[in-house]
Amino acid sequence: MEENIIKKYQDELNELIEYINDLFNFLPIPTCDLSPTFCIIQVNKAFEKLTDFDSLEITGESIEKLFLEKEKIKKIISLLQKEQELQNQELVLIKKNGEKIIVNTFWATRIKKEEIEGFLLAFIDITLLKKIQKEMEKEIKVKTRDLREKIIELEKFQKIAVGRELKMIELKNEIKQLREELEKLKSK
Amino acid sequence: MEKNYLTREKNYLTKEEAAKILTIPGNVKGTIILTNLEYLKKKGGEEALKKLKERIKELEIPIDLENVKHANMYPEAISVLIILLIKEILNLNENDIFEMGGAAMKLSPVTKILTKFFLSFEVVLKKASEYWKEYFDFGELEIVDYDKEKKYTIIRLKGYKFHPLLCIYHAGYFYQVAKMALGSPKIIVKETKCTFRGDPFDEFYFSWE
Repeated sequence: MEENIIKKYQDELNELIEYINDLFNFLPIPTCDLSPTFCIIQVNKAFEKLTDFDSLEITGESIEKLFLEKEKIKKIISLLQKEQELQNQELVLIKKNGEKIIVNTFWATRIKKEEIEGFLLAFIDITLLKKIQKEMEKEIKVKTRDLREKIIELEKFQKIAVGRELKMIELKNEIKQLREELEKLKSK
Repeated sequence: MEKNYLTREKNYLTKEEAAKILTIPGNVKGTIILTNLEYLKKKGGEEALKKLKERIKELEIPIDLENVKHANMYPEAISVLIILLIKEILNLNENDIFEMGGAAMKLSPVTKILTKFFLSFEVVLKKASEYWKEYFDFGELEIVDYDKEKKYTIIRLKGYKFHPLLCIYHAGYFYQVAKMALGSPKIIVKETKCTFRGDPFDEFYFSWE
C-alpha cells in the first residue's frame, strides 16, 4: 500500500519535472535560474541560442561574467536583497564570441520561509530596437534642424514682406498727402 | 586529478566486468542517469546515444533508456556501467570524466532544487550528508574537516565501491558543487584515500583561494 503511494507521488513528480523542463525550454525568452550567490544554475534553450554559450559552459559561472557593467550588476544584486522584483534594467551582455548586445533584464527573487532561495533572470535583446531608436533620434535631429532653418527663412521672408507692406502704406500716405497739397494749389 | 586505474588501452567494457558490477547493491535516482545521457548527447549527438543503446543490449544491462525517470530509483551499478560506456563511446580521458561529474551537477533539473543550500559553503557542507541521501539509498557522505581560515575541507565517502573511475566522477561532481557554492574561485581537489587502494573509504581534500 505504502509502496503504491510512493510510486504515485514519484510518477507525479516525474511528470512535474518533465512539464517544467518542457516549459522552460519552450520559452522564447532567454531565462536563467540563479543561486543565492548569483551563480548560474540553469539556462533555457533561448538563453543558449542568444548568448551562444552551451549550458555546460555557462552553468556554475557568476552572473557578472555575462554582463559588461559590473558595477551596475552589483547595484542590481544589492537591490534584489530588498526588492522582490526589478524590471527594465538595461545592460550590455557579452556573448561567447565577444559580441556586445543590449538587453532589457527582468529579475525576481525566490523567497521561501523568509529566506532567499535564489533568483530568476530573463532578458530581451533590444539591440535592434536601440539601433532603430538611435536612427530615429538622428533623423528627428536632422528634421528638427531643417525645420529650424525653414522657420528662420520664413521669419526673414515675413520681415521682408511686412517691410514691403509698411513701405506701401507709407507711399500711399505720401501720395494722399501730395494729392491733398495738389488740390489745395488748384483751388488757389 | 589523475588516477591510472583505467587506461586507454583497456577501453572496452566486457560482459563479465559488467555482470560483476551488476551484483553490487545500492540504488540511485534516475536524474543522474538522465544527466549523463544528456552529457553524451551534447558531446556525441544522437549517434553516440544509439551506440550506447547497442552496447547496453550487447552487455545485457537491464535498463530501458527511453523510460528512465528523474525521481525513480535505479541500481547504481547500471548508472556506473552507463558512465563506463560513455567513456568508451566518447573515448574520454580522466579529465573528461572529471568534467562529466561536474556536468551531472550542471545538467540535472532535480539538482537545481538543492541549490537553495548554496547560500554559503558552510551551509552546503552542513547539508552534504542530506544531499547525498537525496540521490542514493546507500553509502554516506561525511565532512570530516573544514577550516574556513585555511580554506580547506575534507570529505569522506563511505560504503561506495563500484569502479575506480567513479572516484574521478565524484571528485568532479563535488568540485562543481564547491565552485557554485564558493562563487567560482580557484579550487584544488585531491583524492587522498581510495577504497580501490585498500582504504576503508574514499576521501577528498579540497582547498581554494
